Amino acid sequence: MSAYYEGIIMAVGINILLAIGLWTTVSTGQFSFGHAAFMGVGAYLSGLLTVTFKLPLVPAAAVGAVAAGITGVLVAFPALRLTHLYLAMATLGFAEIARVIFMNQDALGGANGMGGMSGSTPLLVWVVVIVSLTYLWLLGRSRQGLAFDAVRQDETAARAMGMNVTWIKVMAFGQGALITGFAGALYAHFTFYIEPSMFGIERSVVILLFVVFGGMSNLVGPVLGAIVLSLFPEFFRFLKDWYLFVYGGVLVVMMIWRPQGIWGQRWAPMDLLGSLFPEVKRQRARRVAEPATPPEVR
Amino acid sequence: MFFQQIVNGLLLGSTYSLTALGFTLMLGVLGLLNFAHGEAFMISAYVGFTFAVLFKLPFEVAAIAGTLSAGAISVIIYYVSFAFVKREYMAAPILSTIGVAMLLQTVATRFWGSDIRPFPEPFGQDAVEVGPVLVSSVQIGTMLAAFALMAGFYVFLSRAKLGKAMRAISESPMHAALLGIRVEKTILATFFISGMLAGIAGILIGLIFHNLTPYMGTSVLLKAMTVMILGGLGNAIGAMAGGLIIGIVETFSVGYLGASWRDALVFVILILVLVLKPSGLFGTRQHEEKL
Amino acid sequence: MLAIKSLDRSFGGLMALEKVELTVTRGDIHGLIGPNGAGKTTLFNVITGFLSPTAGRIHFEDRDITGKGPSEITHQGIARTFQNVRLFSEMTVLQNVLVGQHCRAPGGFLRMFPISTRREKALQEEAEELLMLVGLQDFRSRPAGSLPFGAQRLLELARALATRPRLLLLDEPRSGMNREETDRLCSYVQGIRDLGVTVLLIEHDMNMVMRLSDRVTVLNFGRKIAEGSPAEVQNNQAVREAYLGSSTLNA
Repeated sequence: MSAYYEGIIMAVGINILLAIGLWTTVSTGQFSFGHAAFMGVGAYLSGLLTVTFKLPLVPAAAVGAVAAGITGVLVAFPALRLTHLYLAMATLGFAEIARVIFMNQDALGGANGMGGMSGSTPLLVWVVVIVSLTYLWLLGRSRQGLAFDAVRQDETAARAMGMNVTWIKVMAFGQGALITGFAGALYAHFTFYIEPSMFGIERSVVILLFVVFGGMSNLVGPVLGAIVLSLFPEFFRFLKDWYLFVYGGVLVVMMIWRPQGIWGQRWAPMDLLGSLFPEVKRQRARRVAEPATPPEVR
Repeated sequence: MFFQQIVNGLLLGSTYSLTALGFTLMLGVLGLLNFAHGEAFMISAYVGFTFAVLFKLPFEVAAIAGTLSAGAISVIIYYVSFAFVKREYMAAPILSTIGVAMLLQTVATRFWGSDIRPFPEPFGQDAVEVGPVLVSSVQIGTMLAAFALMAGFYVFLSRAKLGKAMRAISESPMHAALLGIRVEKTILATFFISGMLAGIAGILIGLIFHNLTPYMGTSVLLKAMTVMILGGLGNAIGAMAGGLIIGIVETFSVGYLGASWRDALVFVILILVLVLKPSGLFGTRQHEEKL
Repeated sequence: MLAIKSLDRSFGGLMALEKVELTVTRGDIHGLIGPNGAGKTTLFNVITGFLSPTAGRIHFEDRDITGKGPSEITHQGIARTFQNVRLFSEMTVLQNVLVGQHCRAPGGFLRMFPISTRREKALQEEAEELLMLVGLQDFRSRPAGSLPFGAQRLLELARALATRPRLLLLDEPRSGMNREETDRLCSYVQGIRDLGVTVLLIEHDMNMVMRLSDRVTVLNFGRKIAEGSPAEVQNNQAVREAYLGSSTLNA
């Protein structure tokens, strides 16, 4: 198999990991625009370990992933107090801050980036993809998965069911960050060179696009979205510099034509992405004045 | 030096105020977080540049062209991202505006190149000493224009029929409709005006800083978000005051922290405000409680 | 079983609840009535931990539960339904009930994988039984949001029962139901009490309240204005005034 095809297979695999990493977090209703930062943590830390400390790739990537996961957990706590719109904006800010931090570390090469990483193979990437997908699939069918979904659909009711919503949300953030971090590590050792601008808002938006385009109802959506949108530039090489334009156009068209994504389910009156909006506005739009629902004070 | 920084900060901040004003209005009136607002700002500056430098038209014409283009973009966004999008998917409009932003930014990068372009300086480069500060007449003019605009807008919101309609819709679209306000038309007008405000800000930024990049839209968007949070969602006064504050903070931080931390500091403020006092400095709106 | 002492809850300057005293006896069906805005749902919110009281204490089975959070309250054995049904509308009917069992399912690692232990099988069977109890077993695979409104309320009831509460708080369970459904609901509530669950019921339907309740408490403007057996409360002057307006009506 030529290096070219190997590259595509790896790129698709890495994008799938990024998409399902974001999806894990979003599946509890926490909309994060900052997952690219976790990717960067995984990429930079693993790169540092392999290049400077000569660690083999797999342990280095694992360490990078765990570090990203821990970062995710740390970010999740203040994020708990934020919902909807506010969370989106805060995570956006977080992504930019992370990028600036990366840019100012001389140990990481600063604005000039870090190079010299290598070692990702299609086998390794896809082993990680299969393992992650299996894990997430099992999780989805377990009671914990049900709990994740409950938290996403109605946090208040979930609390009333005795769920530790804090724990669930933090776990979702952490796990999503971990998978994203692993993807970052594999990415770094695939492109041989990384720099801070690769892990900023633009990247976060592209990952978001995978998930939104594919559909957020279940695991198939992000995978599908990642595959289609990764292969797309390959089939339309003449668009090279315009691919962001096309992605943007895809987003606009999708929101008009099929907002739930290609694989998303149509019927729900409340949608997953509705979590981006203040509960009050949602209620205002859909119901006529009704007696108050129990306000959340926690 | 200190006062010079203050003046620079106010200058910068006034453009943030204008941009954030439009941003917060669109959020208040429609609940729409318009991610493409920053791109409207950017496009206006580039259109102005094109008209003045490439078409060699008088600066006034260029400025108007730029402003109108931003207004037009905003109206298009209203249709594409909101009117044509099914209401039940509440976050779809926001995602759509993200798409529009990507579209616009790519167009700008391809069309005008990603290198820095110089904005015309139609009024020369004199410097006048006003007390401890050195300002150019351009800067004075810009500042006067921006503050006059903000003051005028405040009056507009409190006195003019359209302005009051906007505020009514912000409070409750349903009640506004019941009171006979033409909601659809008012929203359209809000978008157009918001776009123009951003457009003017774009021209002003060009005059103040002379350099244009296609990425200035993203940068200003994040600042506008911070300003909006700082000032309180949907709060016009908050947006104006917040813009000035952020402008000043940013200017001082460059002096003491260096350029690359400058942007990060603003986002740190964003996060701090969100975590500590989400309703912002001026916001006490009821729905903030739920958040 | 439930003892509420001198409970206050204010919002800014407004006293939503003022010096409320309430005792629910184990095994009772206890009605809570009052005009709109009297503070009934607020009281529920305080009991179940969604709001904390500004003053006063709440004891459940001799344990002080004042100020505890909602999930802990559920673990203590108190469950509730919501005035505006809060189902997980995208999940199936059966899944909603299963979610109710979350606080009783084996925890830790086991929760993360769809393993079928004996306990898990027992829980699944129990969920099916709860659905049969409220007559929804044929709808088990339908999305909860697609059910007619009355059925949704019944599902919420089943889901609350899945938490195995010892005290069940029902917030206007019959609103949106027709006569026939209401009658069914009444028999369900009595059945639930016979199973050993104490019930605290907010209702506007006077017939239903008088029929079911062993004791009734009346709130108005956040204060308790009457308490007693259904008959006593019905004949209480203060209660009449609260609902009908001033006594000049009778003059």
